[in-house]
Amino acid sequence: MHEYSPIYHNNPSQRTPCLLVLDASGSMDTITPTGKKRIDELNAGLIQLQQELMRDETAAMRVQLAIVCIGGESNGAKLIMDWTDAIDFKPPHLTAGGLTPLGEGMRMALQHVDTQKRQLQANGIGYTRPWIMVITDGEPTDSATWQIAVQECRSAETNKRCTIYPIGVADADMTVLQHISSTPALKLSEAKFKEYFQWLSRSLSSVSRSRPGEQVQMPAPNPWVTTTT
Amino acid sequence: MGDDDDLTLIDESHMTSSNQVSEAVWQTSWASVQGKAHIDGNIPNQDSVCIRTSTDGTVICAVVSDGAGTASRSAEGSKAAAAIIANLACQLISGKGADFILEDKHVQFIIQNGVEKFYHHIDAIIKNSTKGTDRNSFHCTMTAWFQTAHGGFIAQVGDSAGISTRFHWREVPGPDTVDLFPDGQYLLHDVERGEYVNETHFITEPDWQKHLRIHKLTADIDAVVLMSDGAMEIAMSQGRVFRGFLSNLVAKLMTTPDLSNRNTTIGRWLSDPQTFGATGDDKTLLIAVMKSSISIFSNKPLHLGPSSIKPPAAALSEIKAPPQERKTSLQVEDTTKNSLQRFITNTHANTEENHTATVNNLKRRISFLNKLTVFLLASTIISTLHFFQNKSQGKYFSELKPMEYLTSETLCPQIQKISGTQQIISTQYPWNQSYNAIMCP
Repeated sequence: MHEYSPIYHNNPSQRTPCLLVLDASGSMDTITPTGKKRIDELNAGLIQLQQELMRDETAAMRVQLAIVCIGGESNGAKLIMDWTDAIDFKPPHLTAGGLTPLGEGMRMALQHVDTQKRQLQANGIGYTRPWIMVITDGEPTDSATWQIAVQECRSAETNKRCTIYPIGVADADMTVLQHISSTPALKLSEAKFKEYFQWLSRSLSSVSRSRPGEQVQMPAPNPWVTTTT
Repeated sequence: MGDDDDLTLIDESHMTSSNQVSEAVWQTSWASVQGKAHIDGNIPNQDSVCIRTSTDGTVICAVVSDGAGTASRSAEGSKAAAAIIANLACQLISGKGADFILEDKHVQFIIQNGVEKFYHHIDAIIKNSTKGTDRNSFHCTMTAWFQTAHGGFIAQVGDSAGISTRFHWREVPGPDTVDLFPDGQYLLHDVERGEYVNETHFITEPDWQKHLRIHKLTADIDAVVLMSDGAMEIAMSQGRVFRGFLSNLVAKLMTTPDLSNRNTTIGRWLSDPQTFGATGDDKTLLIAVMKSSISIFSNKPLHLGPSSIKPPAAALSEIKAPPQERKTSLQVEDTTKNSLQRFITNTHANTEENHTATVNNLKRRISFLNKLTVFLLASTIISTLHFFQNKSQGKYFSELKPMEYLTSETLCPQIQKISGTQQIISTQYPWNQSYNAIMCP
């Protein structure tokens, strides 16, 4: 499983892994004030992320992305894009449908983060603490699994295995979402997916350049965040 | 001298004052410069370096400390840590006399007491500071080098690195060259970071002792280098010494007698705008070279090319037959050269006159082997060239690029011959060229 990869011979830069847990459940078909569906805004945001990362040579070489989709065509949790350097990132096109098995998605995300860390170690590649970005507009529909996932996420954060950023869209239950992380859950304006992914790209760029002991200057999330309820 | 407690008896009479260093045994040079990010952000240099020596120069205690960017008073922390630990170490070690054998337990004792003194110092500051200032505000790493006439140690907490090296004559067709950081002869006492590349450990953490690592240096080293992680971004490449920078710099220092000029040189190289792309962090570098090695190795052509002419260790391990039956001529010569280098090094403590004839004999033998090898190689190459010239109407030149390694002018364009030796041109820094052009992998 953890084998030497030629990818790392060509690009031995340190990596900043970021796994996106994206909600593509049926509610993402809701029309936003811009007249577009939420899922379309999300897809446009992913394209924005790719463009922003490609503008930054360092980030393009150092940021690694993976995507777990919940709901959507599979109506479950599925790794739709394995770990990919930003320079090779091709945004997937998501289709809305099904339920929101967020617990299953989070457990899968934690597992893939650990797997990737071992892969990077096996190839002698340094890395920053992985991020898990969770974007959902609903609440978990797999309540039993969700409770397990909450414990696992809290444990992962305590043990510094990763940092989890919960992002709620429109009607998302922010209180429930907050359970998986000590990082404050932020509410994303449903019309501002592009601004969010622009912010994510800049934040990842900052982290990918960070040195030991340095304070990472994250851009303010003002352009996309709405008042948390 | 064996008990740790003996080290608590402090005698400063054998120590230089704080603004002097003795260069009787080691030539030391150092500089610490503000990083570009800190210049732009109006943040002070958070690195510090302190060196103390005994009056006779046999004892050297140097500390490089890197303050954490996240800590509000880390510049003060690193400065105090470097000064307190270097001072204490030099007081304790130099006071024990020339026969004192430094052991790792002594190093551990010195670091333990040095950090406690440092805590005492910052706790007094914290007491008179505003609310919110605590030991974390003074977060800093530490890499210390303690050297006596009988051996040395490098002790580390955090991600500042130490390198000890043994210079090496290299033999390729052409003139002898000196490799200041030969593979297998230099040791990188590597940095300790946390799991993540942007996290490290500090002496200000409650569990700092868990992260203290002590390395004993071999007795035959020629030079020691201490550097903060910012300097590592320039002096190291993919976990190995970047000869294009470090060998050139050490060679330059070996030919610069004046301490002030040497320190200026390091500062100038470290603060060159061309380093800004590599790192925005503060950069600190301390380089110490044995005076006896300088007299042998300075002003010699530098080897900056492929790191080793020996087969890699993996290949050697595959050799089943007795080594003496399987050695190639190059390997035999290399072994002879190593013997010569060791022999020359060993003569430092002996009378040179008794051995000069032997050394000259060895040199003559090697010179003859060199000439023979070069002649045979040249004959083979010329014959091959003529063969291909006839076959391919001169197009073979494009196939002969590897042979360009034979000339250092081609190998490293920034090197020129000056008065029969190769030296760097002072106005053209080695990193002007791309890494590939310098390293010629």
